[in-house]
Amino acid sequence: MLPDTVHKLPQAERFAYAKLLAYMTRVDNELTVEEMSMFEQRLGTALLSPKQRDAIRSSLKNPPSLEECLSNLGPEAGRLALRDAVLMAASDGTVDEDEREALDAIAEHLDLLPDAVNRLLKWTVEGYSWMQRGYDLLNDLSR
Amino acid sequence: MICLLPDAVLSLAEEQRRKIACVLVMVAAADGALVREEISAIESSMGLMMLHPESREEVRQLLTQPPELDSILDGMEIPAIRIALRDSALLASVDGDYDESELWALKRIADAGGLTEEDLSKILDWVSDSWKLSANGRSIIAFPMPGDDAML
Repeated sequence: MLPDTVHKLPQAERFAYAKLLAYMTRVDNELTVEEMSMFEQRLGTALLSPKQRDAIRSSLKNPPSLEECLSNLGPEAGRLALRDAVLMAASDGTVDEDEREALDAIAEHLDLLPDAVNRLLKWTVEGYSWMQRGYDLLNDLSR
Repeated sequence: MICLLPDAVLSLAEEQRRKIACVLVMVAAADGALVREEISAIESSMGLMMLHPESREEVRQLLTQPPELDSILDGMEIPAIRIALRDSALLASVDGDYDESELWALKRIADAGGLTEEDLSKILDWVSDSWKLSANGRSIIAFPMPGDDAML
């Protein structure tokens, strides 16, 4: 877990952020436990209202188009959504072609540097190592 | 807070996961003030653990009436206590620092999990790495927080 800023965005922006993540969960037509857990985690962080959560969960069944998601997304929420979309896409251990295409499209829409997605993927791997160090610590420390 | 791996917590029973969330509430309330960052972190953790909606509601009720730490730790398995310690340390750091009451709670949880103060200190060092990692993530998306520059 890392300190985060998603909860500081205006509510409409947090909703748009969550909608994009809902879109990402369905890009590869699979929803693994890992992706669902990551998605629920981000939904919790966003502090959405119960109604908004219900709306987002129904987006999982009927995912919106990427264009629809991006059209409602401001630059700040968009950047956080891209970062967290990378985390979600990688949470099952692989980023497939469809997911990669979607991530690249989001980065382009946000006018980020061309290597942004690669850097975020590298950052995600560093994050995995950090989490693993945390597990190792908990396992190794004992009286 | 962002958890970056499919978490070991998912392998625990629902009741153990609920208790972890209760521990987080207690730690968040330890300094007498429950800030938005902490509530967001608790909701994030409940989402990550995929707690049942009823369990989440029970935990939310505790936000206004935080429980006694010892009553929660009773009946928790060691792996659950250690994960609770890890997540409590992360949670306690979200408002920038650990105060005395938070440290007391963390020591109590560490003790219940069979860990020493030295072990806790190693966990807190690990937590401090999260700030740098987080700042690095924000720098990639060009959305820094005040203070990120100093960490990078």
